[in-house]
Amino acid sequence: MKHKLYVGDGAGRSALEKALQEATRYTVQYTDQPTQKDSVDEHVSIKQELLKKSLGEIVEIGTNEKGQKIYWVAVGESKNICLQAWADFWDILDDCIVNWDIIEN
Amino acid sequence: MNIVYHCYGSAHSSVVAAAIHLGRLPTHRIPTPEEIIALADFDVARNDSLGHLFYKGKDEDGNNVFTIGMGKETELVKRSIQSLIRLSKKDERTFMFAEALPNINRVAKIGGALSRRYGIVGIGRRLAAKGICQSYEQLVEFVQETKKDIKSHTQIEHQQKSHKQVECSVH
Repeated sequence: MKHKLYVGDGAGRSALEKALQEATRYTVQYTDQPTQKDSVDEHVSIKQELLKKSLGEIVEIGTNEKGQKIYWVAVGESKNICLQAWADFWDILDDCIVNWDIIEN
Repeated sequence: MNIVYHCYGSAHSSVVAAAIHLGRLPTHRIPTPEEIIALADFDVARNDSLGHLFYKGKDEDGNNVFTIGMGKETELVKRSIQSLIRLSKKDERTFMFAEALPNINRVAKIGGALSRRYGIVGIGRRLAAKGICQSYEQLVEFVQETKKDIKSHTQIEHQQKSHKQVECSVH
């Protein structure tokens, strides 16, 4: 199954919001267990934590209802450069761009 | 091991660093600007080349050498590539990123911008090559340091592997 990557310009806030909405189950690295989406408060605090991540870091958000892994990355002003670099690196990492759904925002 | 020399546009400093690494430019003397310009990939990359990973060849130890232009947000682009490597479950230690741009002088940078950004290729290319020659000793030192880092990286990996083998045979 393809991975889904939400790519946001600048700090990527709106892409992150969409990624969080799509994920039905979060992979939160600062707790021991994956967390079910329960409350607005949890959504907000997860979002705040994720926005602290460094620009460029591809972060696993969770999975959607189909079990597809959801990722998010904020790319500043370098979206096209990143997209090109990832396409070339996937080739040498035995992966391929066709294995990824890239949602640009 | 994969070595990725990077700079702004993959047209000047990273290209020359890769050429030094692969023995296509000398380390015992400073080449002439004409020798720099004679490199097939010197001062040819365009804006739409940013982000492209260019394979340059294998060095004497079998390491793959690449160049890439990361634009102005170098750390961001590098971080994204490194997180991609981690997600692919490949060993991050098999990739080494070496930034070539700080090893060239202002003359080279101005020449590069004149040629690549403003299209004044005649003067820009010669100026970039002249600046590269002026910075050449620093570039050679940078490449030699990078090669040393690769060797010590590889030695550490071999040691770790043989420790693991010894542990396995003991158990």
